[in-house]
Amino acid sequence: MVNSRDHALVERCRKGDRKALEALVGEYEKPVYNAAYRILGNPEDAADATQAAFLKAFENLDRYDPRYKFFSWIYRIAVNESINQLKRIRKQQPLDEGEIADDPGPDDEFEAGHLSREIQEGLMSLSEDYRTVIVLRHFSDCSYRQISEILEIPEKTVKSRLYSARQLMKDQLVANGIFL
Amino acid sequence: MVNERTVYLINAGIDGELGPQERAELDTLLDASAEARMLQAELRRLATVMESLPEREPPAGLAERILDRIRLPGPSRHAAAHSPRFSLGGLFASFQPAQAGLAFAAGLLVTVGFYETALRDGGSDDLSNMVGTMVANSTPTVGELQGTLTIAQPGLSGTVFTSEVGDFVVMNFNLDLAQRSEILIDVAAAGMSFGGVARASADDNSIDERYEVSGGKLRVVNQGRQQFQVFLRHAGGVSAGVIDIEVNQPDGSVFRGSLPIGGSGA
Repeated sequence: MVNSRDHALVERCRKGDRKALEALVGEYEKPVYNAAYRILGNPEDAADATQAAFLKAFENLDRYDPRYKFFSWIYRIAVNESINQLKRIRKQQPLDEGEIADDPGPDDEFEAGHLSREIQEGLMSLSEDYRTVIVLRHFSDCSYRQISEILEIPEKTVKSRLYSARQLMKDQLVANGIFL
Repeated sequence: MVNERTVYLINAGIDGELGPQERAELDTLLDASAEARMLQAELRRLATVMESLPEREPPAGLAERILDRIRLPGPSRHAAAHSPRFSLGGLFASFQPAQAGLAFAAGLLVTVGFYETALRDGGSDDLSNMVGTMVANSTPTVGELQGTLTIAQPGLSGTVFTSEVGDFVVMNFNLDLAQRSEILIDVAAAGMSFGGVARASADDNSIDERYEVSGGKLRVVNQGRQQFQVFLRHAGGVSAGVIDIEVNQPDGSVFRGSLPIGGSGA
């Protein structure tokens, strides 16, 4: 179902209304940033991916199909930007270096410490396909249908990836001594 | 061993995607298998833990930076906030070398030509707010050497040298950044206008091609080994004679240096 408020805001953006732009960025900045952070495991990279996603989305506003939710569209771009960012990072890092920041830093103080780190490390150990479905399901609260729309894959594939990814994460956490 | 059907139903149940019939089937399977009940408990706990982690706040000013850089079509009540989008790639594709009228090597002709086109268009004179993409240029532009800066400090090494080509000052960066670092070039303070950025190789996909110009400074954020050239032109006012470079690393260390930029300015 199309979100009529978002649709109206997109239409106003197409006419140059910056108030509508501010409303859309305000609405989706935090969820997009959080999804990018969970995919990338690094706040700076997540901020870069978020910015790039919004720039790309609004540069290509004429390509937005109003039959779909703006939410799905911006998430799709953000996921792609995050994965592109991962590829760039990988090329710059030796293979034995992890993707997650070594020092959590002050930004991480609010997170629930050890368990949160273990969860993020578990996520980073997954392949991009698996990580993305876990992030969309458990951190962005997307349904199978929404994930299918965002990633442009069949729901059957969403389920298959999600179930396998959860099993792998569970096994890794248990192996690391995390009680589940 | 929990069979495939049970695993499917447990997972779908955790996601709230079971119909009444499937729910009843799962309940029966769980009643019959302690192993299945344990798997369900573990997966449910994993889901609960992930969903209970607090959302992170985006960095301060991120929304403003995004809004500053987005241009919308049509009329706007905030026209002054628009950021000129400056894509050298498009200019490169359309440029005809013969228009430049400069007797340099072919690569240089092309390079200087599209920057001249860009400057004529006026977009690159606005140093207040701009984003762009580095253009690939496998034939690095050379010219009369003006100065060299050698950098050797923890996590950051390499050279930057300036050369002069016609009206242009070319800054040649050859750096190795151990961490993702911010490179700032104070274009406005040097009395220069901005022409663009070219990366050394069309095949090198390892560096982030985006750059920003804001508050008179060019900003490139990257990591690893990289070669790129920054093209500047004397803005017509009094040139400062030097251009300042700053490299900020994530550990808080800052490198600052200056390079001479010649005397072509008025």
